[in-house]
Amino acid sequence: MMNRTPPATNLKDAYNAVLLDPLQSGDPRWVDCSQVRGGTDVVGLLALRIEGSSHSTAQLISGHRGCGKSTELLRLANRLEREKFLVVYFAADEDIDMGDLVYTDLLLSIIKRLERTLSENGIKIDERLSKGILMWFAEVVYGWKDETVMEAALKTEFELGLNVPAPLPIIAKLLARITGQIRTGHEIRKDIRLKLDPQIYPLIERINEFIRAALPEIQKKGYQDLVLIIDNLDRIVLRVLDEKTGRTTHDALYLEHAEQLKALDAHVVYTVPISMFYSLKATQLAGAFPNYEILPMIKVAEQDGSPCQEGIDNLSDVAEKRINVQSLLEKGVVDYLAEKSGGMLRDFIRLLGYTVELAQAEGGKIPISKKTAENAFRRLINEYGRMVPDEHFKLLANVAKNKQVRNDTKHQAMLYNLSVLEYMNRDRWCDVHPAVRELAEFKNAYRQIE
Amino acid sequence: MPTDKLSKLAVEAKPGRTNFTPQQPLLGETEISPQNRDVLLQIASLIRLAESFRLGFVKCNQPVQCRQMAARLKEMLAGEANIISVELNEPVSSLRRAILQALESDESDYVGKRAIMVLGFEQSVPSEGPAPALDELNQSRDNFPKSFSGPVLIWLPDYALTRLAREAPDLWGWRSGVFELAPELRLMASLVNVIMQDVDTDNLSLPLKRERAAALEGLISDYQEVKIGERNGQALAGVLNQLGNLRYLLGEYAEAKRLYENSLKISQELRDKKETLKALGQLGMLAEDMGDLVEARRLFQNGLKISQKHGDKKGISKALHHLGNLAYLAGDLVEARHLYNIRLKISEELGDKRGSSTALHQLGILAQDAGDLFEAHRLYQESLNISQGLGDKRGISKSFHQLGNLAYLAGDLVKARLLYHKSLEIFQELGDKNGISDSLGQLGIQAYATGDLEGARRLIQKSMRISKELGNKSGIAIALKNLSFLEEKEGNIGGALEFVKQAEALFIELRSPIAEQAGKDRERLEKLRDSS
Repeated sequence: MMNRTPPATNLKDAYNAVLLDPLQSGDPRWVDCSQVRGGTDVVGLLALRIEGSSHSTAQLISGHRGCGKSTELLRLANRLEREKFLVVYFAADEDIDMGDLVYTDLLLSIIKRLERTLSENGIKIDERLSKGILMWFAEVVYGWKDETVMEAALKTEFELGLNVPAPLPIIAKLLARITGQIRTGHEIRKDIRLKLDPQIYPLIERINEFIRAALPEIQKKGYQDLVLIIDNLDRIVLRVLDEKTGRTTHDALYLEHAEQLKALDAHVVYTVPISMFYSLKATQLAGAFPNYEILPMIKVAEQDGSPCQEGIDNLSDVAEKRINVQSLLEKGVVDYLAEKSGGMLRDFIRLLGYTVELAQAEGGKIPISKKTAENAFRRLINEYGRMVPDEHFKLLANVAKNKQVRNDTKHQAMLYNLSVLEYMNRDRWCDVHPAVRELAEFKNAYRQIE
Repeated sequence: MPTDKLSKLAVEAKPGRTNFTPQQPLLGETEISPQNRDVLLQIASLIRLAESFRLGFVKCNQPVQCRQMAARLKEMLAGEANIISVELNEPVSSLRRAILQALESDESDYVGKRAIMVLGFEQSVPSEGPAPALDELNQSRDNFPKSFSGPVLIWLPDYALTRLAREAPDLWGWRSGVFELAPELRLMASLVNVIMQDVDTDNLSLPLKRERAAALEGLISDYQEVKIGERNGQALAGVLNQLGNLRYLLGEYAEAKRLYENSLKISQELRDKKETLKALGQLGMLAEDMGDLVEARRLFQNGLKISQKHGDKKGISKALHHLGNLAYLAGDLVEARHLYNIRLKISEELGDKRGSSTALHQLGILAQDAGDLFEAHRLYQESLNISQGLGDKRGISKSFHQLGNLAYLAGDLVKARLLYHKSLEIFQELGDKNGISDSLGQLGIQAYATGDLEGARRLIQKSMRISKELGNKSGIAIALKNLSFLEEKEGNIGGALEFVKQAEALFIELRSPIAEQAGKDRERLEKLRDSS
């Protein structure tokens, strides 16, 4: 969805110009905020490591929900495509049930997406090899040893009108069947996992065979190499799997399967929940994946609380690419909203929307006054009031004071629900979201530690 | 065959139910508070401005208020946008699919902008425990913009919205506004009036029970939000008791217990005798059902003391009746008869027809147990006549059930079956799970008598499943004993023994006189097993 229309000059256009969706790469509304994100161009770094490496890399990217991660990953994909890499970009949660994800689900999703990208690009791999891989899956998952049995089963299913665009190669049908069943069928999911679990290494080997067979063909098409970018994997639901050890779903995927995540014969970028970098296992994670990047918030205030004009100006640019700030908002309103967003892009855009909507409800007068913007912020405050459980306020007061978070589950939860935001100068530091700071419970807790 | 288990007694209530229909506009447009009018204006602005999908949330505790506010929005936006209300009447596993399904069946032709209001999703969001619908919702946020081209507003009570904010953070992160409607005091007052005059919740049909429960839940949330004065406190205790009774009838025992205990706490603080007694009586009945007879006795005696202190004759008679039930369960038939007779006498003095009807019913059971079927018939019939006069469906159904038992004992299987079915139908209409379980069990015994062993097993197992859901131990024990009987008839001594052992253990736990009988059956079966 490219938006090349000029910035909106009336309330209706303005409201529809401030959407929360990530920007596609090349969208003129994109604003370079790297300076206030700690001075690092995250996309540039990730890309350089891929471009400069002769062997496959596995990198991690992390950042708060709504900090612009997807936008940046789409930029990464675009840059690599320009550099002649074949990029397979996909959102993990489209294939996998994030409430109940195991590592093999991810592998299956990867090979399915890979196969799809190859066939969309007209890249064929050696038929005998492809058939070998196909029959391996058919036998392990469904016990189909015979090709005709499998073909018959798949044929009827897909002719019964499942929503798959025909004609599909048989391997695509089989992979779609497996991933579909894992995503939706509770019983069959258990069954498939039971069969695949003991086969993790053969499974990786099959995928690597597939990649190795594809690579010469990919290169024939003029590409340098293959890159997998897996977005939204950080949405994997955080659950404690073992009360005694505190082992979580995040540990199970990123730590216990770190070697396997790195074992694919392609460049891979995985998204990781930001809370992992604040868990007790952060060092372990960084050890397993030395190449990781965290996309911090846009800094709108310094550690001492004084405003950071550069970050505020950056967000003003973000606003100006969408709406005509001069004619729609009274002076100072954008700066106010930028400050109150805590530098979280999505909340900033949200606040712009609330301001426009409230102005409309109040009669539609422009330019919109500061008071209306304050009411918009009031709404955001109430929303954060809902998100923060009572037991967090004391800890939040400490974060506000010390600008640091402890590595424990409660602090992870606070990063996860965005009541604590991370910034970067040279070092990482944290602060409490401006909306949370306005809550009476927070103020009480803060007064008590002062 | 074991005797039919003792029928559960309903919370006593005034006869004659006013027609309660929450759809009735109880609040005039001009009566909406200025604060809420501003919020409605904001929602209208979102709808007016948005040209693509937007996700909004509206906090509103009371379903009746939700409907009224949604209707008001419709008026405000007439000619500008089509407001489509999707009302969910039961829990759903996928909100998005449920909305799409509802829209599919909507055949109106819409021209122009559509905004969708979703009401009733809170039924999929319990206040505690797992909420799989929220997990599903959290993951489907990318699909929402693909499925809807205009604004979607999800209306939820406070607690459910908070759960959603915390447990579906990815969807929540996509919100374009949370609009908070405050409780409307006038609406609350008129709802309490209507609902509290109409305490005969036992006889509401299942959908009406659910609807009433939702309205009561909303009232409770509203009370928590506004400051609770003494008058509100009294009303709240009554609301909690009434909701507790509905949850009890719908078989949600744990929730019922929580509500009664809450009500008891408030009414004791306020020294509200009426609601205190009600809560004590209901908690006693729950304890009785769960097999905790010691606790049940304590609660009933507690109620008796309070009633005696206040010279509350009706309260005394009710408490004695409950104690009579406990005496009956313990096998002390003389004491039970004595207590039921007092109940009957006081009820007749007071003109408390429902009290008379239940006392007659219990006396009928005693006569039946003593083998005096003629007297039992007379008593059941008399009880039935009163219930019919009152329009008390639950009472009628119980009488049919007992008359069915008599027909069965007299060997008239056709008539027994007919009566059980009539009883079952009414219980099903009322959604009364305990009653349904009883009827199914008796139909099973009846099926056995006609030689249909397979049918008998099926029905009794179904009855046992419901009793297990309810945690009703005596129901489970009776079903087990009957299943043992069926196994033995089929020559499966091992199976029969297994069932009777489980039944015996439960009967002992319940201190039921049937334990002895079960023990004898067990011994006999053990001998049979050893000799073969």
